[in-house]
Amino acid sequence: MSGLNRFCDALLEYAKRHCDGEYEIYATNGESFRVEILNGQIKNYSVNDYAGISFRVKKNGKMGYASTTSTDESGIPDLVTAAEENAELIENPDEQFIFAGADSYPSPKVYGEELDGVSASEKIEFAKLLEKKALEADPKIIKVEGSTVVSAKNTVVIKNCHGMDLCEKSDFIAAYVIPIASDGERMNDGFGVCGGFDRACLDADKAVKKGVSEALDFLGAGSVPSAAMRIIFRNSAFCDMLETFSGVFSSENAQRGLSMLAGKEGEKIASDCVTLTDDATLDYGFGSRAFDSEGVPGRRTAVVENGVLKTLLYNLKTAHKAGVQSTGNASKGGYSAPIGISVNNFTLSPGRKSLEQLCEKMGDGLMITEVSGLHAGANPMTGDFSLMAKGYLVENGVRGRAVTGVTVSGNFYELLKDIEEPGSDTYHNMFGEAVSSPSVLIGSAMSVAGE
Amino acid sequence: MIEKKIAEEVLLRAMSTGADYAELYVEDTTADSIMMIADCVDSANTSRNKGAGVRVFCGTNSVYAYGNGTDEASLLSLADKAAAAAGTARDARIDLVLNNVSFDPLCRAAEPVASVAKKDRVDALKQAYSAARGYSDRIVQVRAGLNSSVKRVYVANSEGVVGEDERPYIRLFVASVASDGSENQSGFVGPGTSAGFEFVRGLDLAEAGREASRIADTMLSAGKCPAGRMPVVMDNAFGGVVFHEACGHALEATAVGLSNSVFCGKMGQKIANEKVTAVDDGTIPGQWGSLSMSDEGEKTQRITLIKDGVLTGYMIDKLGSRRMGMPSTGSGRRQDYTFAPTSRMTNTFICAGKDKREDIIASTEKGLYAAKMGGGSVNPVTGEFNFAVSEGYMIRGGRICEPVRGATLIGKGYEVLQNIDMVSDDLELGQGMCGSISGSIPTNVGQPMIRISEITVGGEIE
Repeated sequence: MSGLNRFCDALLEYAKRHCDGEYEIYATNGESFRVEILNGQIKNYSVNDYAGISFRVKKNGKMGYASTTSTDESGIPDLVTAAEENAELIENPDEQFIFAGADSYPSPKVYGEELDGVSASEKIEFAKLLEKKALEADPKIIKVEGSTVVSAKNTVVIKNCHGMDLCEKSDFIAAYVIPIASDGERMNDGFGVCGGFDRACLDADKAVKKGVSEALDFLGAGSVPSAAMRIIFRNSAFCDMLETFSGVFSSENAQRGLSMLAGKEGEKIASDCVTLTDDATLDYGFGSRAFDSEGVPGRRTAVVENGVLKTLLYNLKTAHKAGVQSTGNASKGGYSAPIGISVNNFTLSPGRKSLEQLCEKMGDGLMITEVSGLHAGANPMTGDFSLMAKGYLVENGVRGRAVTGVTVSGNFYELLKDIEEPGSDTYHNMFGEAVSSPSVLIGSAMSVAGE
Repeated sequence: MIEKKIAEEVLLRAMSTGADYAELYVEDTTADSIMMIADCVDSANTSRNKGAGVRVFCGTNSVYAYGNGTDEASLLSLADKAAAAAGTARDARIDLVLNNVSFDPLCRAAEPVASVAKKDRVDALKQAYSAARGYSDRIVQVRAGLNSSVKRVYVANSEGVVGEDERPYIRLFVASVASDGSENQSGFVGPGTSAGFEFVRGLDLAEAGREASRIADTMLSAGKCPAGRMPVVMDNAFGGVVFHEACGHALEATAVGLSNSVFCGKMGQKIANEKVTAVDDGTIPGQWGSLSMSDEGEKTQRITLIKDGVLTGYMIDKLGSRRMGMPSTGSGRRQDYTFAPTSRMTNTFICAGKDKREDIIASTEKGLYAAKMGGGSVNPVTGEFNFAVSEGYMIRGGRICEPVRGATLIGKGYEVLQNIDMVSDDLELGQGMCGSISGSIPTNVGQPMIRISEITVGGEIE
């Protein structure tokens, strides 16, 4: 860390002498650990520490970027020159901002002190425990893939020409297990996960139970005849949908004609029971942070309230363009990427009914527990999706047999307006974007293709 | 890139606790990207990503330590970390002599992108952009980018091999959005290769731009695709994503070596229609997925995966080779030093057959013509895959009819392979990025036009 700090200070010094315009450093530094167990032995083990420094500079009002992973100070002149050359190529007239900093910042808890004390051998033992429990859970579980523990510690530093000097440390631990069931002819895998900011979140029973039941339930599961069917998206599946389409709430996408929510702030875009909140300040939220990637303080934002779009999500550039304030959603897709927009902790407010009660209400239909092919079969620009899905048939309000080999198709913008009722069973997405959602019952039938 | 003495010491230290193989991988990659949207250059970025990884094997178990430092102290520290995780100290030292191995340079930049002024790169990008933008009134937005990189790779291992490689990459992408006021549709092209700026000069940039917009504009007029099981004719080039997802991943040692593939134990068995012959070929000069040297310091190969429907080969990396008791096919690849390598695809395609395109369409009574495919994914354990059709048309009475959108094809890999009943003679390759446990890497997919006699099409229930 000290090598990184030294480099950042030297870079600031150099930039001060050489750059006419404003400039900013965004640096990350951290360490991570990963162990995977197979047959009681360490199959894969990986440790690392890494640093990445991104530098951006304004030249004639235009912003250029350059980044490096080397903290060798002799690389500073080239880094600055590359960023300035890149600034000279920019034609977009939108005003760009380097923030002077705010007077106060929230301090959401994102660092689990206890995790420092969890040793490598404890992590190895836990991964072994996951495999052991999964194998013992059922005779049809013939092996376990990926009994894995991952942990990471990360520091983000933002320093700039206005004296803004921010630093935030975060950490995380997670474990997952992939039990594989077989009936002699076919195999099927399930996935169970647990994680968070302290030892207590490593819950082997919870992860194994989910992984094993999924592996067993879907073994030999068949398809259904193609039909229009009533649908419940189970909580984790709806998290995936919200994550895939979260870009529709980005003001940058809206301003570029890439979201159909452009110009719809204040309008009803979803059904009455839909309330979506983005909150960077939640203690131990997987997406929490004190400041966004431009140093704007984190906050809680009501995005959709009872179906009405209250605001899109903004960074400094897009906010200025729209004549509003940044909502603290500036983000970088990796330390070296230019500033964009993403959600922090994006939550669909839960309702009152349990998943079982939603099934009762639905009567007959399909409960989708997993969707895949999201990177290819979903188009955030158009809202269209056609995704491979699996789940359970629901008959007479009761969960029935497992179903696989189907697709479900629709349009996300239509789906928002068609959510009939959210459940009470909120699931928090741990990997990817921090989206939280309960299970949701959809009002109209949707196209399901199967046999 | 690394002094031999240092590399030798790193490898010996890494093996000092009982590991039976050690590998040092060092990488230095510089990349540029320029992006246009809303009719102007919107962002420009340059990155330098440098780092190293030390990997050791103890039988079929692997330990990997990586970091950014590539100086002697950092590399030795990685070796110590790897050794510490691999076992406990012992005294025996192994003899190790490193020998430089040279690899035929398959991918060279005749005109390195670094030698081309950034303004000239912008001019080329603008040719593609403006052609896309001006295609029709209904094109409301275009995003286009030019990404280029040079990756320098160094591998040294305890088998005594030292190899280096320098890999140039360049790729243009154009994504167009067409709108009629109430709905959007999109189109995408992404030609690229492992070469220098000569690739861009040789491209018909305006045609590439127009193609992205043509797809978007056509799909705007398209109705929803019907759902159900039907024959699907898949056009060539990027249609090969079918094979990549339905079959390719399940033939990697990454899955097979752990008995996690539906194709385990099926060598010599008929797994596809006899019209199907498919290869993975990392040796094609100057192609997007080709490599002079694998990320494990081995020569890449042309691997015949399926011959006349019979399974004849897997893609195997060093660790997979140990697990499967079969020789490596030089298939070890990784995104960068932050990943340990595993067996991956290179240029993977169904070979040209004997049928004629016209006959394939003409002999299909009712089905879907997938002119352009989007991406997809697969679960090698169950064989279930999915992929998206980005430009589709109904076939009725042997003729291509109205455009349809929103189709996703799903199925089981081994079923689809049996159902490929026509394979034309017009093979072409298409560029993509493939993701797996060793990260995201450039791969080519490819095929001639093929027909799948029956597959589940996800669309709208009529």
